[in-house]
Amino acid sequence: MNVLVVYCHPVSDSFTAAVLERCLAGLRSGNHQSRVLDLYANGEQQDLAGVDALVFVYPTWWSGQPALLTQWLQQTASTSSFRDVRRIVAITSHGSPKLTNIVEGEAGRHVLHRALRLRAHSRATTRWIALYDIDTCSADKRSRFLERVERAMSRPRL
Amino acid sequence: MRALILLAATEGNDLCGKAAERAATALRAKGHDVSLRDLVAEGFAVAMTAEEREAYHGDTPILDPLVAEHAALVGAAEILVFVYPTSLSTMPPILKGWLERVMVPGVGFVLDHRNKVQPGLGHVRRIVGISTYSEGRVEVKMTRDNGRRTITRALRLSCGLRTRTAWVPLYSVGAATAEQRAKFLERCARRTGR
Repeated sequence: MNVLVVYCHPVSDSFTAAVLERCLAGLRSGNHQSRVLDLYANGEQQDLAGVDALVFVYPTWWSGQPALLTQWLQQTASTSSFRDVRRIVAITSHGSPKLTNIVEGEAGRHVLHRALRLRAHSRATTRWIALYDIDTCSADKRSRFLERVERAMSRPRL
Repeated sequence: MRALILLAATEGNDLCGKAAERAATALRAKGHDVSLRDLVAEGFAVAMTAEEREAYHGDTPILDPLVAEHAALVGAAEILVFVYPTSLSTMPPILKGWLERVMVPGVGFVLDHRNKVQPGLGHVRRIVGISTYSEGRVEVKMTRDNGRRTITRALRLSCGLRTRTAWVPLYSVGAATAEQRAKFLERCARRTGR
């Protein structure tokens, strides 16, 4: 697929940066065409023409996307069309456990899988790849998550 | 009581500006001490910087004097009011950035000895949200109204057990008549000024 990876994290040696690296490794081994938009490095608008999959790599803060990613989503929704996008993948980490996020309403998940999905291709599908409890989880759980990301991104349909 | 009203609307969004003014007037009429802050006008920075992220779990997570000013207001507030236009089912980036940069450990929540999040806003008695929507009620509900969820559920969880929330929406704002707008402003005043 022709993939635009939208990456949002301010720190270059963060866990999210490691997730991006494994995500791109997976896309390469799956022979996908991909380019990265690093929102902290260059926030300019990207032409979405020809992009049929959007992959978002970000940390969940206050139950949603970081402000800079929220800004990109809202600006892009007002200036261009997501109608060609057939696959929306979110790869994210949460400080708190899954149950807490469910009680809090999973705002970020619904922004991508419902609000953005409504603006995408009518047959677009979504996928949620999330690590919970990152502040307290073991190193082993983190490395298993990285493997999961790489495996998922190497598949033909992401 | 002390109230903090946060306005997050771009210049020219008269309705949100008026709604914030009406909320402030109603609270003052009840004898509350009101701070009304316009995030766009005061040039509040949207994104958390790398330096702020690295300081986040340290002893001094706040680096920007404007953020420190807002954190002091939050620390003293018993009523929090948010006024913004909803876009793509969520709050404006500047308000999301406000949550991320102001509601840091020690302000919005505290991390206990096991690194678990504990509420930090026990002093907040009431949260009011006021929002305009370009979509109608059905689409807003279908996409889950995520700005509202973040404020009335995620932020609410950082408050005490008895903190109440209220929400004042105006759906399909583009099609709203002058009368509907006036009624909306009335509701803003009535529901905030309790």
